[in-house]
Amino acid sequence: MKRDFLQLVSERTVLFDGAMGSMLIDAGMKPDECPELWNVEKSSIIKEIHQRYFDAGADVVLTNTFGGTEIKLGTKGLEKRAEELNKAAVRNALSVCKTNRYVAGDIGPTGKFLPPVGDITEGELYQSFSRQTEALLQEGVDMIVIETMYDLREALQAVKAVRDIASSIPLITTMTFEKKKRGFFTLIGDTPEKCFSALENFGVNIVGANCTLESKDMVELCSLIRGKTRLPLSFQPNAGQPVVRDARVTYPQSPEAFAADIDQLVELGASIVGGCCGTTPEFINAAWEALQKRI
Amino acid sequence: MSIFNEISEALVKGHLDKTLELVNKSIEDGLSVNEIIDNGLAVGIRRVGDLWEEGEFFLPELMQGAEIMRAAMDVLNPHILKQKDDITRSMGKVVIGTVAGDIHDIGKTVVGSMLTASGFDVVDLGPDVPIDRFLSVAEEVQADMICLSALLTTTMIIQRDLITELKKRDLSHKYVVMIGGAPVTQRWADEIGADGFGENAVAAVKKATELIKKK
Repeated sequence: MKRDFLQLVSERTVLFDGAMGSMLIDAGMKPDECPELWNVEKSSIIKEIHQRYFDAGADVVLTNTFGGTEIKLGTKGLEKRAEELNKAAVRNALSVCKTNRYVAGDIGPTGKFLPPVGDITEGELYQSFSRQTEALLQEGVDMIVIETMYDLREALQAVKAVRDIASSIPLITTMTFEKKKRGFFTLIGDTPEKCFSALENFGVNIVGANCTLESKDMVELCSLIRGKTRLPLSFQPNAGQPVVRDARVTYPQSPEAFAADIDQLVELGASIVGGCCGTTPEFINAAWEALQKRI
Repeated sequence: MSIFNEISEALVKGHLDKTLELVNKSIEDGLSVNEIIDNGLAVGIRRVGDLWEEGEFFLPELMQGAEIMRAAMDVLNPHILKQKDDITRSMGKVVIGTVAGDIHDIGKTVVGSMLTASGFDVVDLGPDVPIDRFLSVAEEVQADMICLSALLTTTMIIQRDLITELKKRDLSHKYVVMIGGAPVTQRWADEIGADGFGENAVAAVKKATELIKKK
Protein backbone atom coordinates (compact mmCIF):
# COMPACT_ATOMS: atom_id res chain seq x y z
CA MET A 1 0.00 0.00 0.00
CA LYS A 2 1.53 3.29 -1.01
CA ARG A 3 2.59 5.96 1.42
CA ASP A 4 0.19 8.66 2.49
CA PHE A 5 1.08 11.54 0.20
CA LEU A 6 1.47 14.23 2.85
CA GLN A 7 3.65 11.83 4.81
CA LEU A 8 5.84 11.38 1.73
CA VAL A 9 6.15 15.16 1.27
CA SER A 10 7.40 15.47 4.84
CA GLU A 11 10.08 12.84 4.18
CA ARG A 12 11.59 13.81 0.85
CA THR A 13 11.35 16.14 -2.15
CA VAL A 14 8.50 15.09 -4.41
CA LEU A 15 8.69 15.40 -8.20
CA PHE A 16 5.62 16.42 -10.18
CA ASP A 17 5.33 15.98 -13.93
CA GLY A 18 5.92 18.57 -16.66
CA ALA A 19 3.67 20.29 -19.16
CA MET A 20 0.66 18.68 -20.76
CA GLY A 21 -0.55 21.55 -22.97
CA SER A 22 2.67 22.12 -24.87
CA MET A 23 3.11 18.35 -25.25
CA LEU A 24 -0.35 18.14 -26.83
CA ILE A 25 0.50 20.95 -29.23
CA ASP A 26 3.65 19.04 -30.19
CA ALA A 27 1.42 15.99 -30.75
CA GLY A 28 -0.62 17.98 -33.25
CA MET A 29 -3.34 19.66 -31.22
CA LYS A 30 -4.68 22.81 -32.95
CA PRO A 31 -5.45 26.14 -31.20
CA ASP A 32 -9.21 25.72 -31.48
CA GLU A 33 -9.26 22.16 -30.11
CA CYS A 34 -10.26 21.16 -26.58
CA PRO A 35 -7.42 19.38 -24.71
CA GLU A 36 -9.83 17.58 -22.38
CA LEU A 37 -11.61 16.02 -25.36
CA TRP A 38 -8.41 14.13 -26.15
CA ASN A 39 -8.99 12.11 -22.96
CA VAL A 40 -11.71 10.35 -24.93
CA GLU A 41 -10.78 10.81 -28.57
CA LYS A 42 -7.01 10.37 -28.34
CA SER A 43 -6.67 8.61 -25.02
CA SER A 44 -3.60 6.64 -26.14
CA ILE A 45 -1.66 9.88 -26.63
CA ILE A 46 -2.67 11.10 -23.17
CA LYS A 47 -1.69 7.78 -21.59
CA GLU A 48 1.63 7.86 -23.40
CA ILE A 49 2.43 11.35 -22.09
CA HIS A 50 1.62 10.29 -18.51
CA GLN A 51 3.70 7.12 -19.01
CA ARG A 52 6.67 9.10 -20.26
CA TYR A 53 6.56 11.39 -17.24
CA PHE A 54 6.43 8.42 -14.88
CA ASP A 55 9.35 6.84 -16.76
CA ALA A 56 11.28 10.10 -16.42
CA GLY A 57 10.95 9.86 -12.66
CA ALA A 58 7.85 11.85 -11.76
CA ASP A 59 6.20 10.75 -8.52
CA VAL A 60 2.93 12.41 -9.51
CA VAL A 61 1.14 13.06 -12.79
CA LEU A 62 -1.64 15.62 -13.11
CA THR A 63 -4.80 14.62 -14.98
CA ASN A 64 -5.47 16.27 -18.33
CA THR A 65 -8.30 18.33 -16.84
CA PHE A 66 -6.78 21.79 -16.58
CA GLY A 67 -9.71 23.34 -18.47
CA GLY A 68 -12.19 20.79 -17.15
CA THR A 69 -14.74 23.02 -15.42
CA GLU A 70 -18.12 23.35 -17.14
CA ILE A 71 -17.48 27.07 -17.49
CA LYS A 72 -14.29 26.54 -19.45
CA LEU A 73 -15.59 23.57 -21.45
CA GLY A 74 -18.63 25.70 -22.25
CA THR A 75 -16.46 27.94 -24.45
CA LYS A 76 -16.11 24.92 -26.76
CA GLY A 77 -19.72 23.79 -26.34
CA LEU A 78 -18.67 20.78 -24.27
CA GLU A 79 -20.09 21.65 -20.84
CA LYS A 80 -22.49 18.71 -20.92
CA ARG A 81 -19.57 16.31 -21.25
CA ALA A 82 -17.67 17.68 -18.26
CA GLU A 83 -18.22 14.66 -16.04
CA GLU A 84 -17.35 12.22 -18.81
CA LEU A 85 -14.15 14.01 -19.81
CA ASN A 86 -12.89 14.49 -16.25
CA LYS A 87 -13.51 10.84 -15.42
CA ALA A 88 -11.86 9.64 -18.63
CA ALA A 89 -8.84 11.77 -17.74
CA VAL A 90 -8.50 10.12 -14.34
CA ARG A 91 -8.86 6.64 -15.85
CA ASN A 92 -6.14 7.43 -18.39
CA ALA A 93 -3.70 8.44 -15.67
CA LEU A 94 -4.60 5.56 -13.37
CA SER A 95 -4.16 3.03 -16.15
CA VAL A 96 -0.44 3.85 -16.44
CA CYS A 97 0.23 4.74 -12.81
CA LYS A 98 3.18 2.77 -11.47
CA THR A 99 3.38 1.27 -8.00
CA ASN A 100 3.98 3.85 -5.32
CA ARG A 101 3.25 6.72 -7.71
CA TYR A 102 0.33 9.11 -7.56
CA VAL A 103 -2.38 10.68 -9.69
CA ALA A 104 -3.44 14.26 -8.96
CA GLY A 105 -6.76 15.66 -10.10
CA ASP A 106 -5.89 18.93 -11.86
CA ILE A 107 -8.11 21.99 -11.54
CA GLY A 108 -7.25 25.14 -13.49
CA PRO A 109 -8.96 28.53 -13.79
CA THR A 110 -12.34 28.88 -15.53
CA GLY A 111 -11.09 31.68 -17.77
CA LYS A 112 -13.95 33.93 -16.72
CA PHE A 113 -13.20 36.89 -14.52
CA LEU A 114 -14.88 38.22 -11.39
CA PRO A 115 -15.83 41.92 -11.32
CA PRO A 116 -14.55 44.47 -12.12
CA VAL A 117 -12.73 42.65 -14.91
CA GLY A 118 -15.64 40.35 -15.87
CA ASP A 119 -19.05 39.38 -14.58
CA ILE A 120 -18.89 35.79 -13.35
CA THR A 121 -20.00 35.34 -9.73
CA GLU A 122 -18.25 33.51 -6.89
CA GLY A 123 -21.29 31.25 -6.64
CA GLU A 124 -20.98 30.21 -10.29
CA LEU A 125 -17.27 29.53 -9.82
CA TYR A 126 -17.94 27.43 -6.70
CA GLN A 127 -20.57 25.35 -8.52
CA SER A 128 -18.28 24.69 -11.46
CA PHE A 129 -15.32 23.68 -9.31
CA SER A 130 -17.58 21.56 -7.14
CA ARG A 131 -18.84 19.50 -10.04
CA GLN A 132 -15.36 19.00 -11.42
CA THR A 133 -14.08 17.91 -8.02
CA GLU A 134 -16.92 15.37 -7.66
CA ALA A 135 -16.02 13.77 -10.98
CA LEU A 136 -12.29 13.65 -10.20
CA LEU A 137 -12.80 12.18 -6.74
CA GLN A 138 -15.38 9.64 -7.85
CA GLU A 139 -12.92 8.15 -10.29
CA GLY A 140 -10.21 7.97 -7.64
CA VAL A 141 -7.46 10.59 -7.56
CA ASP A 142 -4.91 10.63 -4.72
CA MET A 143 -4.92 14.40 -4.32
CA ILE A 144 -6.22 17.59 -5.88
CA VAL A 145 -3.98 20.25 -7.43
CA ILE A 146 -5.52 23.67 -8.02
CA GLU A 147 -3.10 25.51 -10.25
CA THR A 148 -2.27 28.53 -12.36
CA MET A 149 -4.71 30.68 -10.42
CA TYR A 150 -4.34 34.41 -11.06
CA ASP A 151 -7.20 35.60 -8.85
CA LEU A 152 -7.07 34.65 -5.17
CA ARG A 153 -10.87 34.92 -4.98
CA GLU A 154 -11.29 32.31 -7.70
CA ALA A 155 -8.67 30.06 -6.08
CA LEU A 156 -10.57 30.23 -2.78
CA GLN A 157 -13.81 29.17 -4.46
CA ALA A 158 -11.99 26.11 -5.82
CA VAL A 159 -10.47 25.40 -2.40
CA LYS A 160 -13.86 25.71 -0.69
CA ALA A 161 -15.45 23.44 -3.28
CA VAL A 162 -12.83 20.74 -2.67
CA ARG A 163 -12.87 21.01 1.11
CA ASP A 164 -16.68 20.96 1.28
CA ILE A 165 -16.63 17.63 -0.53
CA ALA A 166 -13.43 16.10 0.89
CA SER A 167 -12.20 17.55 4.15
CA SER A 168 -8.94 15.62 4.26
CA ILE A 169 -7.79 14.83 0.72
CA PRO A 170 -4.30 16.26 0.14
CA LEU A 171 -4.83 19.68 -1.44
CA ILE A 172 -2.11 21.61 -3.24
CA THR A 173 -2.80 25.08 -4.56
CA THR A 174 -0.37 27.04 -6.70
CA MET A 175 -0.89 30.59 -7.90
CA THR A 176 0.64 32.19 -10.94
CA PHE A 177 2.62 35.37 -10.32
CA GLU A 178 4.18 37.94 -12.62
CA LYS A 179 7.50 39.55 -11.83
CA LYS A 180 6.96 43.29 -11.62
CA LYS A 181 9.35 46.05 -10.57
CA ARG A 182 7.88 46.10 -7.10
CA GLY A 183 7.83 42.34 -6.66
CA PHE A 184 5.68 39.34 -7.53
CA PHE A 185 1.95 39.79 -8.07
CA THR A 186 -0.93 37.95 -9.70
CA LEU A 187 -2.72 39.59 -12.62
CA ILE A 188 -5.28 40.88 -10.17
CA GLY A 189 -2.61 42.30 -7.86
CA ASP A 190 -2.48 39.64 -5.10
CA THR A 191 0.85 39.16 -3.34
CA PRO A 192 2.26 35.70 -2.51
CA GLU A 193 1.96 36.43 1.21
CA LYS A 194 -1.69 37.40 0.96
CA CYS A 195 -2.43 34.32 -1.13
CA PHE A 196 -0.64 31.75 0.99
CA SER A 197 -2.09 33.07 4.20
CA ALA A 198 -5.66 32.91 2.88
CA LEU A 199 -5.12 29.50 1.30
CA GLU A 200 -3.79 28.12 4.56
CA ASN A 201 -6.84 29.47 6.40
CA PHE A 202 -9.14 27.60 4.07
CA GLY A 203 -7.43 24.27 4.54
CA VAL A 204 -4.86 23.94 1.77
CA ASN A 205 -1.97 21.61 2.71
CA ILE A 206 0.70 22.78 0.27
CA VAL A 207 1.04 26.16 -1.50
CA GLY A 208 3.30 27.57 -4.17
CA ALA A 209 3.57 28.91 -7.67
CA ASN A 210 3.46 27.61 -11.22
CA CYS A 211 3.64 28.99 -14.75
CA THR A 212 4.34 32.56 -16.04
CA LEU A 213 7.80 32.55 -14.42
CA GLU A 214 10.92 30.88 -15.73
CA SER A 215 13.04 28.89 -13.30
CA LYS A 216 15.47 31.62 -12.27
CA ASP A 217 12.58 33.91 -11.34
CA MET A 218 10.90 31.05 -9.51
CA VAL A 219 14.11 30.69 -7.47
CA GLU A 220 13.91 34.39 -6.61
CA LEU A 221 10.26 34.04 -5.63
CA CYS A 222 11.07 31.04 -3.47
CA SER A 223 13.81 32.83 -1.59
CA LEU A 224 11.47 35.78 -0.95
CA ILE A 225 8.54 33.76 0.35
CA ARG A 226 9.98 30.76 2.10
CA GLY A 227 9.94 32.35 5.51
CA LYS A 228 6.44 33.67 5.07
CA THR A 229 4.43 30.44 5.33
CA ARG A 230 4.60 27.32 7.47
CA LEU A 231 3.17 25.20 4.72
CA PRO A 232 5.33 23.09 2.39
CA LEU A 233 6.09 24.82 -0.91
CA SER A 234 5.56 23.64 -4.50
CA PHE A 235 7.05 25.18 -7.67
CA GLN A 236 6.56 24.42 -11.37
CA PRO A 237 8.43 26.91 -13.57
CA ASN A 238 8.13 27.27 -17.35
CA ALA A 239 11.01 26.25 -19.62
CA GLY A 240 12.08 29.86 -20.10
CA GLN A 241 9.98 32.68 -21.54
CA PRO A 242 8.10 31.74 -24.73
CA VAL A 243 9.38 33.05 -28.05
CA VAL A 244 6.96 33.60 -30.93
CA ARG A 245 8.35 33.05 -34.38
CA ASP A 246 6.13 32.58 -37.45
CA ALA A 247 3.08 31.93 -35.29
CA ARG A 248 4.94 29.12 -33.49
CA VAL A 249 5.73 29.34 -29.81
CA THR A 250 8.98 27.83 -28.54
CA TYR A 251 10.52 27.66 -25.10
CA PRO A 252 14.25 28.37 -25.12
CA GLN A 253 15.54 26.83 -21.88
CA SER A 254 17.57 23.63 -21.82
CA PRO A 255 16.73 20.71 -19.49
CA GLU A 256 20.14 21.13 -17.84
CA ALA A 257 19.61 24.79 -17.00
CA PHE A 258 16.12 24.00 -15.76
CA ALA A 259 17.43 21.19 -13.56
CA ALA A 260 20.09 23.45 -12.04
CA ASP A 261 17.37 25.86 -10.91
CA ILE A 262 15.24 22.98 -9.65
CA ASP A 263 18.21 22.01 -7.50
CA GLN A 264 18.33 25.59 -6.22
CA LEU A 265 14.64 25.50 -5.35
CA VAL A 266 15.14 22.34 -3.32
CA GLU A 267 18.19 23.89 -1.68
CA LEU A 268 15.98 26.79 -0.64
CA GLY A 269 13.45 24.41 0.87
CA ALA A 270 10.91 23.55 -1.81
CA SER A 271 9.03 20.34 -0.98
CA ILE A 272 7.57 19.72 -4.43
CA VAL A 273 9.10 20.61 -7.80
CA GLY A 274 8.01 20.02 -11.35
CA GLY A 275 7.62 21.76 -14.68
CA CYS A 276 5.02 23.86 -16.45
CA CYS A 277 4.73 25.19 -20.03
CA GLY A 278 7.44 24.04 -22.43
CA THR A 279 8.80 21.33 -20.16
CA THR A 280 8.94 17.74 -21.38
CA PRO A 281 9.80 14.30 -19.98
CA GLU A 282 13.43 15.21 -20.74
CA PHE A 283 13.17 18.16 -18.35
CA ILE A 284 11.60 16.07 -15.63
CA ASN A 285 14.27 13.42 -16.07
CA ALA A 286 17.00 16.07 -15.76
CA ALA A 287 15.28 17.31 -12.60
CA TRP A 288 15.03 13.76 -11.29
CA GLU A 289 18.76 13.23 -11.83
CA ALA A 290 19.50 16.49 -10.02
CA LEU A 291 17.37 15.31 -7.09
CA GLN A 292 19.15 11.93 -7.07
CA LYS A 293 22.50 13.69 -6.78
CA ARG A 294 21.32 15.42 -3.63
CA ILE A 295 20.55 12.19 -1.83
CA MET B 1 -4.72 72.84 -13.45
CA SER B 2 -6.27 72.81 -16.88
CA ILE B 3 -9.50 70.93 -17.29
CA PHE B 4 -7.67 68.43 -19.49
CA ASN B 5 -5.32 67.59 -16.62
CA GLU B 6 -8.33 67.21 -14.35
CA ILE B 7 -9.91 64.81 -16.84
CA SER B 8 -6.80 62.65 -17.13
CA GLU B 9 -6.34 62.62 -13.35
CA ALA B 10 -9.94 61.61 -12.71
CA LEU B 11 -9.59 58.80 -15.22
CA VAL B 12 -6.36 57.54 -13.67
CA LYS B 13 -7.94 57.65 -10.22
CA GLY B 14 -10.86 55.58 -11.50
CA HIS B 15 -13.51 58.23 -10.89
CA LEU B 16 -16.16 57.58 -13.52
CA ASP B 17 -18.70 60.24 -12.54
CA LYS B 18 -16.07 62.93 -12.09
CA THR B 19 -14.52 62.20 -15.47
CA LEU B 20 -17.87 62.36 -17.26
CA GLU B 21 -18.78 65.54 -15.40
CA LEU B 22 -15.55 67.17 -16.57
CA VAL B 23 -16.01 65.94 -20.14
CA ASN B 24 -19.53 67.39 -20.24
CA LYS B 25 -18.28 70.66 -18.81
CA SER B 26 -15.56 70.82 -21.48
CA ILE B 27 -18.16 70.40 -24.20
CA GLU B 28 -20.35 73.07 -22.65
CA ASP B 29 -17.34 75.38 -22.50
CA GLY B 30 -16.93 74.93 -26.23
CA LEU B 31 -13.66 73.00 -26.13
CA SER B 32 -12.95 70.84 -29.16
CA VAL B 33 -13.69 67.13 -29.07
CA ASN B 34 -10.24 66.39 -30.44
CA GLU B 35 -8.55 68.25 -27.62
CA ILE B 36 -10.72 66.62 -24.96
CA ILE B 37 -9.59 63.26 -26.31
CA ASP B 38 -5.96 64.13 -27.13
CA ASN B 39 -5.07 66.14 -24.07
CA GLY B 40 -7.48 64.70 -21.52
CA LEU B 41 -8.71 61.15 -21.99
CA ALA B 42 -5.84 59.77 -24.08
CA VAL B 43 -3.27 61.19 -21.64
CA GLY B 44 -5.16 59.50 -18.81
CA ILE B 45 -5.47 56.09 -20.40
CA ARG B 46 -1.80 56.19 -21.43
CA ARG B 47 -0.86 56.92 -17.81
CA VAL B 48 -2.97 53.92 -16.73
CA GLY B 49 -1.00 51.82 -19.21
CA ASP B 50 2.30 53.17 -17.86
CA LEU B 51 1.30 52.39 -14.28
CA TRP B 52 0.36 48.86 -15.38
CA GLU B 53 3.79 48.43 -16.94
CA GLU B 54 5.48 49.71 -13.82
CA GLY B 55 3.59 47.16 -11.77
CA GLU B 56 1.61 49.74 -9.83
CA PHE B 57 -1.71 49.06 -11.54
CA PHE B 58 -3.19 45.64 -12.11
CA LEU B 59 -6.01 44.25 -14.21
CA PRO B 60 -8.83 45.71 -12.09
CA GLU B 61 -7.39 49.23 -12.44
CA LEU B 62 -6.86 48.70 -16.16
CA MET B 63 -10.47 47.62 -16.61
CA GLN B 64 -11.73 50.54 -14.57
CA GLY B 65 -9.76 52.93 -16.78
CA ALA B 66 -11.12 51.19 -19.87
CA GLU B 67 -14.71 51.50 -18.62
CA ILE B 68 -14.29 55.21 -18.01
CA MET B 69 -12.74 55.68 -21.44
CA ARG B 70 -15.64 53.84 -23.06
CA ALA B 71 -18.23 55.85 -21.13
CA ALA B 72 -16.50 59.11 -22.00
CA MET B 73 -16.36 58.20 -25.70
CA ASP B 74 -20.09 57.43 -25.56
CA VAL B 75 -20.67 60.96 -24.27
CA LEU B 76 -18.45 62.41 -26.99
CA ASN B 77 -19.75 60.39 -29.94
CA PRO B 78 -22.77 62.55 -30.81
CA HIS B 79 -20.45 65.56 -30.83
CA ILE B 80 -17.93 63.73 -32.98
CA LEU B 81 -20.63 62.91 -35.50
CA LYS B 82 -21.84 66.49 -35.49
CA GLN B 83 -18.30 67.72 -36.03
CA LYS B 84 -17.96 65.33 -38.95
CA ASP B 85 -21.19 66.59 -40.49
CA ASP B 86 -19.67 70.03 -40.56
CA ILE B 87 -16.96 68.72 -42.85
CA THR B 88 -18.54 68.72 -46.28
CA ARG B 89 -16.35 66.15 -47.99
CA SER B 90 -15.58 62.70 -46.68
CA MET B 91 -11.89 62.05 -46.24
CA GLY B 92 -12.38 58.42 -47.18
CA LYS B 93 -13.87 55.18 -45.97
CA VAL B 94 -12.14 53.15 -43.28
CA VAL B 95 -12.76 49.67 -41.91
CA ILE B 96 -11.13 49.23 -38.51
CA GLY B 97 -11.01 46.34 -36.05
CA THR B 98 -8.93 44.27 -33.67
CA VAL B 99 -7.69 41.03 -35.20
CA ALA B 100 -9.11 37.58 -34.48
CA GLY B 101 -8.20 36.09 -31.13
CA ASP B 102 -7.60 39.51 -29.58
CA ILE B 103 -10.22 41.23 -27.45
CA HIS B 104 -8.32 44.45 -26.75
CA ASP B 105 -10.17 47.33 -28.31
CA ILE B 106 -9.91 50.60 -26.41
CA GLY B 107 -7.09 52.04 -28.44
CA LYS B 108 -8.69 50.89 -31.65
CA THR B 109 -11.99 52.51 -30.67
CA VAL B 110 -10.23 55.78 -29.92
CA VAL B 111 -8.49 55.71 -33.29
CA GLY B 112 -11.83 55.01 -34.97
CA SER B 113 -13.50 57.90 -33.20
CA MET B 114 -10.68 60.28 -33.97
CA LEU B 115 -10.73 59.29 -37.63
CA THR B 116 -14.47 60.01 -37.64
CA ALA B 117 -13.84 63.34 -35.99
CA SER B 118 -11.33 64.12 -38.74
CA GLY B 119 -13.83 63.50 -41.51
CA PHE B 120 -13.40 59.81 -42.34
CA ASP B 121 -16.36 57.41 -42.68
CA VAL B 122 -15.48 54.69 -40.23
CA VAL B 123 -16.88 51.18 -39.92
CA ASP B 124 -15.66 49.77 -36.58
CA LEU B 125 -15.90 45.99 -36.57
CA GLY B 126 -14.96 45.71 -32.89
CA PRO B 127 -12.61 43.11 -31.39
CA ASP B 128 -11.77 39.56 -32.50
CA VAL B 129 -12.33 40.04 -36.25
CA PRO B 130 -11.26 37.29 -38.68
CA ILE B 131 -9.46 38.24 -41.90
CA ASP B 132 -12.42 37.19 -44.05
CA ARG B 133 -14.69 39.61 -42.25
CA PHE B 134 -12.26 42.53 -42.66
CA LEU B 135 -12.09 41.84 -46.38
CA SER B 136 -15.78 41.18 -47.00
CA VAL B 137 -16.86 44.34 -45.19
CA ALA B 138 -14.15 46.38 -46.92
CA GLU B 139 -15.49 45.13 -50.25
CA GLU B 140 -19.10 45.74 -49.23
CA VAL B 141 -18.58 49.36 -48.15
CA GLN B 142 -15.97 50.06 -50.83
CA ALA B 143 -13.40 51.02 -48.22
CA ASP B 144 -10.26 53.01 -49.00
CA MET B 145 -8.37 51.88 -45.92
CA ILE B 146 -8.21 48.88 -43.59
CA CYS B 147 -6.88 49.49 -40.08
CA LEU B 148 -5.77 46.54 -37.96
CA SER B 149 -5.15 46.61 -34.24
CA ALA B 150 -3.36 43.85 -32.30
CA LEU B 151 -2.17 43.90 -28.72
CA LEU B 152 -0.49 40.52 -28.41
CA THR B 153 2.71 39.26 -30.02
CA THR B 154 0.74 36.16 -30.97
CA THR B 155 -2.07 38.05 -32.71
CA MET B 156 0.23 40.54 -34.45
CA ILE B 157 0.93 37.76 -36.95
CA ILE B 158 -2.59 38.16 -38.33
CA GLN B 159 -1.72 41.65 -39.52
CA ARG B 160 0.85 40.03 -41.79
CA ASP B 161 -1.59 37.30 -42.79
CA LEU B 162 -4.17 39.85 -43.96
CA ILE B 163 -1.62 41.61 -46.15
CA THR B 164 -0.60 38.24 -47.60
CA GLU B 165 -4.27 37.44 -48.26
CA LEU B 166 -4.73 40.75 -50.09
CA LYS B 167 -1.76 39.87 -52.29
CA LYS B 168 -3.20 36.42 -52.91
CA ARG B 169 -6.55 37.88 -53.98
CA ASP B 170 -4.76 40.52 -56.04
CA LEU B 171 -6.30 43.30 -53.97
CA SER B 172 -3.13 44.97 -52.62
CA HIS B 173 -3.67 48.05 -54.79
CA LYS B 174 -7.25 48.46 -53.61
CA TYR B 175 -6.77 49.26 -49.93
CA VAL B 176 -4.36 51.26 -47.82
CA VAL B 177 -3.41 49.08 -44.83
CA MET B 178 -2.52 50.64 -41.49
CA ILE B 179 -1.61 48.77 -38.35
CA GLY B 180 -1.33 49.61 -34.68
CA GLY B 181 -1.26 48.22 -31.15
CA ALA B 182 1.21 48.14 -28.28
CA PRO B 183 3.69 45.54 -29.63
CA VAL B 184 3.52 46.98 -33.17
CA THR B 185 6.52 48.95 -34.41
CA GLN B 186 7.57 50.69 -37.60
CA ARG B 187 9.97 47.81 -38.14
CA TRP B 188 7.12 45.30 -38.01
CA ALA B 189 5.09 47.48 -40.35
CA ASP B 190 8.00 47.59 -42.82
CA GLU B 191 8.61 43.87 -42.46
CA ILE B 192 5.05 42.92 -43.35
CA GLY B 193 4.54 45.58 -45.98
CA ALA B 194 1.91 47.67 -44.21
CA ASP B 195 1.38 51.09 -45.77
CA GLY B 196 1.41 52.83 -42.45
CA PHE B 197 1.67 52.47 -38.68
CA GLY B 198 0.35 54.68 -35.90
CA GLU B 199 2.09 54.65 -32.53
CA ASN B 200 -0.90 56.32 -30.93
CA ALA B 201 -4.27 57.66 -32.01
CA VAL B 202 -2.96 61.11 -32.92
CA ALA B 203 -0.12 59.69 -35.00
CA ALA B 204 -2.55 57.26 -36.62
CA VAL B 205 -4.87 60.02 -37.79
CA LYS B 206 -1.95 62.06 -39.14
CA LYS B 207 -0.62 59.09 -41.08
CA ALA B 208 -4.07 58.09 -42.33
CA THR B 209 -4.67 61.59 -43.63
CA GLU B 210 -1.31 61.60 -45.39
CA LEU B 211 -1.80 58.14 -46.95
CA ILE B 212 -5.37 58.73 -48.14
CA LYS B 213 -4.27 61.81 -50.04
CA LYS B 214 -1.72 59.75 -51.92
CA LYS B 215 -4.17 57.01 -52.88
